[in-house]
Amino acid sequence: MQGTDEAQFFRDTVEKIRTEVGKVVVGQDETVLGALIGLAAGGHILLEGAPGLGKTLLVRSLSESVSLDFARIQFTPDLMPADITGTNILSESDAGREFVFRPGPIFANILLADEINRATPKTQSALLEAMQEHSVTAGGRRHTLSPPFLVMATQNPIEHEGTYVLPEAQLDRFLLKIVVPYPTIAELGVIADRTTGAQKQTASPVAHREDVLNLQRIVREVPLAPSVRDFILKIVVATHPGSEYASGETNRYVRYGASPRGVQAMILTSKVLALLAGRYNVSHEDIKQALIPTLRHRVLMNYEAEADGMTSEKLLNSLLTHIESKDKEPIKV
Amino acid sequence: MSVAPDLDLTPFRRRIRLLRTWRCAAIGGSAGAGCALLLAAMDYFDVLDATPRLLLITLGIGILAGMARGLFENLPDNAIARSVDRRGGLADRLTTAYEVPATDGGLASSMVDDARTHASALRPASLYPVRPGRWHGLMLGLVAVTALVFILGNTTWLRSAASKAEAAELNRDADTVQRVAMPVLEAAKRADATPEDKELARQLDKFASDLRKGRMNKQQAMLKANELAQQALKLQQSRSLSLAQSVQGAQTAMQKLEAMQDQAGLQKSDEAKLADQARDLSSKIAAMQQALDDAKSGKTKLSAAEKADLQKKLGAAMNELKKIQISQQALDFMSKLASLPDFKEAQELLAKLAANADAQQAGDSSQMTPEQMQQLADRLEALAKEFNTDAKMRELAKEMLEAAKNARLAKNGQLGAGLMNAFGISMTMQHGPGAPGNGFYHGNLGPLNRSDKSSLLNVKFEDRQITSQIGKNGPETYTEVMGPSSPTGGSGVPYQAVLPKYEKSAESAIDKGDVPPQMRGKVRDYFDSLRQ
Repeated sequence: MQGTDEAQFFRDTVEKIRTEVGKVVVGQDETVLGALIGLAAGGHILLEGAPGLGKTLLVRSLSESVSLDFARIQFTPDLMPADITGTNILSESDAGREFVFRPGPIFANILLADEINRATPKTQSALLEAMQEHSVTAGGRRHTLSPPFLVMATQNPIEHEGTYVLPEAQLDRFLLKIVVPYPTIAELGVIADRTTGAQKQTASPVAHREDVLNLQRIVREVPLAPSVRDFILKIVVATHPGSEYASGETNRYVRYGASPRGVQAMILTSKVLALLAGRYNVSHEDIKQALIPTLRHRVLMNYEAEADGMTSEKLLNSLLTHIESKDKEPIKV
Repeated sequence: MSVAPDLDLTPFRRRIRLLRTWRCAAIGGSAGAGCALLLAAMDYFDVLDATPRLLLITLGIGILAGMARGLFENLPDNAIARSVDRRGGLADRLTTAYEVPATDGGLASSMVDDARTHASALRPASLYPVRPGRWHGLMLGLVAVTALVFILGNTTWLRSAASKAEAAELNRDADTVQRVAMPVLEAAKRADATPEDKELARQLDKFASDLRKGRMNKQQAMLKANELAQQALKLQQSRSLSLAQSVQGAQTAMQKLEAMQDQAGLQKSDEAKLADQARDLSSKIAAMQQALDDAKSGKTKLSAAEKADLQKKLGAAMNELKKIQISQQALDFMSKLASLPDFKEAQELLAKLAANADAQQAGDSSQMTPEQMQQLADRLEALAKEFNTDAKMRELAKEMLEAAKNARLAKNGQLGAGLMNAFGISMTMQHGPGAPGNGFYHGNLGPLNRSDKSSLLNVKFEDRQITSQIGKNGPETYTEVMGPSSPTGGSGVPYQAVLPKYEKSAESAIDKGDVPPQMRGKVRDYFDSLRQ
């Protein structure tokens, strides 16, 4: 395929999936877009929102529309790592008894980790290797996950009792953290009609595994100008307290800044956004759009920030203004 | 950084350069206007004299410097691409096209095509409109403030009626000062002007300007005029000194020519005689040569002693003929020189210049005007050019030219009187015979007792100026009176008849102490010898 055709294929495929998901999920455009970005970029998504906002429905609809293997794990405090990754069991066959690896639910293309923060950190950590290396080690043997592999985790920010905050290492492995908003009144009306009527909406497969892999390949071919990339680097460095580009707020409120995974996440997300916007290159606007979802969970604020009501989103917005003020017009006319 | 070779940004580059020039001109103009404002403020506080022309030039230099910066500064391709991206809303298409090689594969080539398509849809003129910016506003503001400060410092609108009247009077005085100072100002512009000339001209110019702007009252103006007049006087005195030396030099040159005539020992009337002598000698030489040739060929018989005698006479005749021929050449030269009307005119002009210098020293108000002196000097220069065919003539021309130039520069003496007259102040010129300078004494061509001697001897006298060392008792004057013989060749009055009076006059002069003591004896011996 030519570059133009590939870009067109990308847009068409994503649009078809979005339409199909939209048949089931009412509204939530940003959330759906985030999920599609994760699918196209090959990154994991953390969905955060109150119960009943359709997080699980979204992930299920997405997996149905791309006809990929789907698995769902309801995280509970007594969930063990082996329940996720799988375990070796003693099996008896003609050859005799032997340990056979029984894959866990993680061996799917799309894994819904529902209420991930209800599991203990030990269990949460069972996902680390799978999310980063797309493989699972059990019984001393390494088992590779079949691509594409996508973890879509949800967490409830309201209930704190009986929950465990995700460790920084785990948070860093999520490409995006999407905050699921409440639906508008119009959307609520549609939801009410759809869910209380006789007919049940379901998503049909409009893309296949190869299509998803192609989407992920095309995304990585989008050119990125060094000067545009530098803009991303400056933003990420600006989240590091005491760095060259750090603002006063960074030095005051940030405990830990974004890691290099933050740069990768911003670039990949920006590339997907560029393609969806009909462009073949990443622009500053794409980066601005990708900033909050990609870095909000990577910038860890201190207690002073919490006391002052300073969130990572607010900080990132102020950093964007800070960096843009330094990025002056190349030629003053 | 490579890249899209077929992505043409030239139209944008031209437009951006135009806008940069427009902006830099405003920045430079603001700097120029700032400097002009400083000058205007200094003019307001009378630190310096700023003219509207100076202020405009300062502003213009700033604008031109800014324009030059805008025209010639480097505009990198990627900077232009980023600028067009931002202004044209191209979402970094051009920047990426310029920074990412199209050969990278994937979507890179599609990206370049996309950038080209979007860039071609943009019009540079609409993307970069020419309009005034902040710098233009600043420049205009500074120009307005500068104009205001300058006008406030130079206007009489806000003054009282009495102050306005005084300012008007000072303005008239300024015209007078400028008119009087015009020769000095012009002389200061010449290549041979001294630093003192230029300083005086500068002060005069500022004085006239201050008067015109009404920045001093009448009393201050008179004090300043007096100060400048004193400076002019000092300058005039030094000029008179050099003038006297130059005139003397010219006269010495004339004497040299006369001495050349004397050395030749020939007068114009001797020319025919010399020619006859030369002809006689030539015929004698020819006859003697013929006699010797005949003796050699045997036509005639001569003894050895006769041959030797004839040879000796022949040699003597040839030497004499050679001398006569040399004298004839010198006579031809002097005759030709003396007959030249220009030479005569040059002598007369020098005499006029010398007389003018005397008149200046004597404070004579009827001296020549600067224009007349300039005409004389120009004529002398023209004459001097005509005498450049011979080394001695060139020397003469040079000396005459120097005399003429020095005479021209000596006109500063007029300035002091003119300035003082402009303010109704009488000025006493401190001059007269024997003004000392540089350890030398320069006698003056004063009246002396020329008329007495003239009537006594019934002949025309000629005074000569003598330069000597200053004595222990101060200046000592010596006047040499040259009384030529009568045209007939003898004196018209027996010298015994005039000797007593002449001797009495000489003794009287000796008694006054003007003659050095060692010379008094010589004078007395001279008259004793005449009495015998």
